Amino acid sequence: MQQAQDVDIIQSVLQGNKAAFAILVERYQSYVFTIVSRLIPIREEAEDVSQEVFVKAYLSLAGFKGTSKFSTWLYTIAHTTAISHLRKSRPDVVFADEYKMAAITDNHTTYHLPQYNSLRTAVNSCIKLLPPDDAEIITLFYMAEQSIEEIGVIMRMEPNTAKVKLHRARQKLKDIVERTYGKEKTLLYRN
Amino acid sequence: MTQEDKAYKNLMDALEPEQPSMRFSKNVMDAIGGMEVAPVGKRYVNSLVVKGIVAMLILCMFVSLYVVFTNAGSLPEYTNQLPIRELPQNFSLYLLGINIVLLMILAERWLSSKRRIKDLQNNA
Repeated sequence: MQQAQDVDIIQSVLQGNKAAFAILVERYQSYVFTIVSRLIPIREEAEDVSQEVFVKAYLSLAGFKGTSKFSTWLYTIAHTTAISHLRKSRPDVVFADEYKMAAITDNHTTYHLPQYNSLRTAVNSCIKLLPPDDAEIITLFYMAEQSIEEIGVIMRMEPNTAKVKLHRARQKLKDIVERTYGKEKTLLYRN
Repeated sequence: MTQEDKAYKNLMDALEPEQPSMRFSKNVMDAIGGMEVAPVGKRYVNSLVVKGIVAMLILCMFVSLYVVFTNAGSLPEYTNQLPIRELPQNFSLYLLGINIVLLMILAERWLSSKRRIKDLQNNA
């Protein structure tokens, strides 16, 4: 249903109704912004890149063949734009989060994380502690509702690799949340 | 559903997308205000990529010429053999294959440019 609506809007934009593009922007802005934010943590920078994603999408809208979902096509643009922005702005970037992650998951370290009052706050804060690609894959699968095959297309990897990566990423996220919860860890297992 | 699955479900249900600023949509619409959707046939190739390829070709030409001229005096006599002792087996076949692929790319470019010109003439 959603897919048909997207296609109708695209047709309308291609026929000259530029204002219709605002519907697509409204519909996908939070997901595009979240995906970009996973890779570019600075808010202002992420917002600029997200804006660039929609401009690129508009310019190449005629090239959207409809063989995939519009969202998959759009998130692919978001992923590649964010990566190329990172390469341009921080060519020597090292994902320090990998080290942070190692410190958190290592049982022998005393890495102190704040205690959160609600699971919602904890999860949404802890996902930022994951390596960027892990946070992105979780976002794509659980929030943006992309299949493993579609994630493979977006992140340019084999579906099997995407599946394994997703499995590991959610395990890492659970580990971090459990650690931040401390004694209240059982909340995670509530019905 | 196992306890592990329940934990994952609880975790993922708690995830929320981040929201951009209130003006985000308006900013995008302002940005595309003076733009038009690019036609399908138009291919976007960064000019830096084109310049890079040209620079590489020119560099290769100069390197080849340099090698030829610096070795010209040392060649004993004319021979149709390349002055390389150990060429991989079927080397000429590989070269032929590469040439065929290049020829096909050239033909595709030529045909698509012809089609684009035809489309432009029809639209005019």
